[in-house]
Amino acid sequence: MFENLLDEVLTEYYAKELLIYSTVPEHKFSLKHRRAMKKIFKVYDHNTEPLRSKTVQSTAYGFSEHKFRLTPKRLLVLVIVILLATLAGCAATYFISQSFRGEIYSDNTELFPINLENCPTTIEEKYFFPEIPEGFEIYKTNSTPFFESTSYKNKQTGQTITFSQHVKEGFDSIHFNTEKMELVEIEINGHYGLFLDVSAEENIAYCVIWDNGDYILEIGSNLDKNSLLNLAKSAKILEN
Amino acid sequence: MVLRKIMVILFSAVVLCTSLVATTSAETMHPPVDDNVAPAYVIASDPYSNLRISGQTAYCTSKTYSTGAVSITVEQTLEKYSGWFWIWDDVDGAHWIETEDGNTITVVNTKDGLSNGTYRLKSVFTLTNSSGKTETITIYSAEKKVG
Repeated sequence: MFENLLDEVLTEYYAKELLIYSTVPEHKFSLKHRRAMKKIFKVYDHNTEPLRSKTVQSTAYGFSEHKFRLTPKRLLVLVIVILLATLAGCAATYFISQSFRGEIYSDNTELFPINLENCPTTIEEKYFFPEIPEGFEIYKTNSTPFFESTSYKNKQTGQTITFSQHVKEGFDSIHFNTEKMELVEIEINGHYGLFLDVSAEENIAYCVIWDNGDYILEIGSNLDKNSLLNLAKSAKILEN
Repeated sequence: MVLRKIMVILFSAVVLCTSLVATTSAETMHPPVDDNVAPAYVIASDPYSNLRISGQTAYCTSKTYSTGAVSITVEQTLEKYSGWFWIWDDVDGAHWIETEDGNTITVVNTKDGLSNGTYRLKSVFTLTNSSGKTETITIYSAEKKVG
């Protein structure tokens, strides 16, 4: 009873006391103060904007939506990534074997001889086949100080053999079809070379190229593989 | 401000690299001249375009073996560097075309009396197989100097 009475008295007393403050007119800040506060909030808004842009907001569909903003830092990272990708695209892939190195492109490999020491700068000794397969005869020859070529044809079967001899120095710009085929390292009379099977459908075709120490020798033919390799091994210097 | 400068430099580098890639590709990849989307190296096995210089004489050699070609045409053009950007001029009297029936071709031509400068051989191989499919491959030799 006493407690209730005391409570009522005190409530009434405090209501009267607080009434004074609620009727106080709102304080009007000076123009200088308001400008200063406006500036402070503007700086605050600017500084907290990146944080607010990263805020994950929930959408009405319950999905999270991440607002992406292209900041200078992100743009810089993007540019670096593009630059690195471009440089990676510039880089060529290289092929290396015992006797040849190569630059690999999307559908071919360009070969270059590795060892150019003490090799003749012009053709001093010509290579030939002491025995050619039966039915073949020479139908074309080409000759320069740096290159020799003999083409053989079997008129009955239509098979061909093209034998080329190149001076090693300045030997460039030969592009082997390696889009679906692989160059296979072989050994011919103790010298390393490469063999390529370019057969397709019913057409067989092989290329063999090797560095015999002095010259680059090369055969392209649609003979069977063993006959071709045996022919390559039989190449000899033509005695004058 | 510094960041913006770095970005401008990097963008310039990217643009420069992109243009260099295109140039390098033209020098080394040698896409087909007639049709940019035509597949290459389906018929041709080992196209070869080689230029050798001895004194003032150029020895131009082009050859290829093929898989099942019935006809091969080689068009050789000796080109001289103009000195301006990547422009090459055809050398007068140094353009040859030869066709052979069969799956292989070898063509050798010479050009005398070359003036000082940088030269290269352009070889355009056109191969046709028995089903009538045609493949065109352009191969440039390495550049060689006279004088």
